[in-house]
Amino acid sequence: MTKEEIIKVIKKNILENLEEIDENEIDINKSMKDYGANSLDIIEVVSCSMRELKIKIPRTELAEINTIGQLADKFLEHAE
Amino acid sequence: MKNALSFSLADFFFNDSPDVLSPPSDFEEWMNDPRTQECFGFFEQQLLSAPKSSTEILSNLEGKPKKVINLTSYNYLGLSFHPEVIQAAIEGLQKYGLGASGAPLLSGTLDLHAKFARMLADFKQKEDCILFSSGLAGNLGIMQGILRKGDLLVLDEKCHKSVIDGGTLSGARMQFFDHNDTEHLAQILDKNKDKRILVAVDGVYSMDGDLPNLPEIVKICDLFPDVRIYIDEAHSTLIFGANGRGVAEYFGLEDKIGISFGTLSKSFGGVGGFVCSNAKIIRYLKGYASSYSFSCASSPPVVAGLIKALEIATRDSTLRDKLWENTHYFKKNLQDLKLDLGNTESQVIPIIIGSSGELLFEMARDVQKKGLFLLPIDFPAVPATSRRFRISVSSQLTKDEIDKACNIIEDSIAKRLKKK
Ligand SMILES: Cc1ncc(COP(=O)(O)O)c(C=O)c1O
Repeated sequence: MTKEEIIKVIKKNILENLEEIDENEIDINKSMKDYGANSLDIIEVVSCSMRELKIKIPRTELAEINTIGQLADKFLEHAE
Repeated sequence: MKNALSFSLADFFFNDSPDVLSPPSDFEEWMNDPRTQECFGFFEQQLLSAPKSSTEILSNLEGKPKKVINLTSYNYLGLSFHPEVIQAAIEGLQKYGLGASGAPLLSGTLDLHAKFARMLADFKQKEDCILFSSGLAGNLGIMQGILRKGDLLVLDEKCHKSVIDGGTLSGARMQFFDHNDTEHLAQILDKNKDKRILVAVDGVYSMDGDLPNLPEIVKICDLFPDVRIYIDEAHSTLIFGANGRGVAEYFGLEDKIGISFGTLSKSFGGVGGFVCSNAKIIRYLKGYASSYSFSCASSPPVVAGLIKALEIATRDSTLRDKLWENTHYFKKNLQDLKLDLGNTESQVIPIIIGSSGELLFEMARDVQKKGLFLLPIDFPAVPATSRRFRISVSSQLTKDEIDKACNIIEDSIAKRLKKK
């Protein structure tokens, strides 16, 4: 799995879970919060993406993550 | 499971097993891991007697009854076992029986319920009051009853789960502002001028014991004529303010609170929830809060006991004064031990340990073995970087009990933190 593939999955879930947002708008150096996500939305996006990518990372390990890109890096570490 | 301790309940929400009555397969594996079991052993330990400041539990650690000093029950004023409350509940039970046998809108409203709701409205100096059979039901009911799809619920990120669940049920959009960050709040309000907005804060935040920055929050909300404020005074009613009306009274801002929630399970010593506001919205709420209209009215002996509890707590300030005396004494002793108590300003006192779950549970075992009922609070209930213990101070604690408790806390917690 590549980082690009992971980002694609995360972006897809952002689009599914957040209102009024365009795919081209999403900058991976930003936080989902910048696009109006609340903490429940973020949990939803993260969980759906992990499910789809078939990885499982304890939420405690995700506490320090700030941007979409960092999230993708973390996923990549755990992907086979 | 190789790293059972890094997982938490936050990690098993989604369930891929085809049978809805089977939990996720890795959940079972996690649950059955001895390390997980050890942590869960602290949950659902049975109390063998009333939640008094000294009581007895069936200790899961030792597998037998154990006498403990109780720092966990939120029986802040000890009203659940006050002799006058018990007597009133007995009389209520004898006169009305155990159940109300009806939803409040139909046959469930007894004269007791009407009397108590009136007393609570007068106490909170609001026009009217609606009773619920639990605090959680009250919060679900308010949010679902007054907010609609398209509305915006703006909450402090540390608001209680019942408020969030109420928001979800209502279909309103939710935006969280960083804890007590009024600039962030202002930004959100500014961006959403076209929406109907309710701003939600707690009177005392339940995991931290700190207060909302109400003066600033009110100032900001005042800039927006239609923004209304909701306050959850679950842990502050009967405790804060010159008359015990809560944190809004304490700050002198009661007239700025649109809708005020309280629970009857904490300082009141019973069970139930109540919401006070203007008479028109309460009447409307009764029609649309499902947890009110589609649920049986609360148990008559409980309401009879609660009427007495309110009388006792407001006829003078004895219990409240004692609670504050105990809180100050306890806090001073804990500060002398150089423990991190966060920003507590109330009878809810956290002892923040940090990010190590192992250390938290090691301390928790030791604390309980030494005779203290003080439970660990772990992620996701609190951030993974600030796992903690949480003390609920009670007016019933004696100086001797507090001293003994502090000695155990010093041995089991403070000394381990120093070693680190
Ligand atoms: C802040 C807050 N609100 C609401 C509730 C729910 O109240 P209850 O336990 O009475 O249902 C609680 C307690 O659990 C709480 O801490």
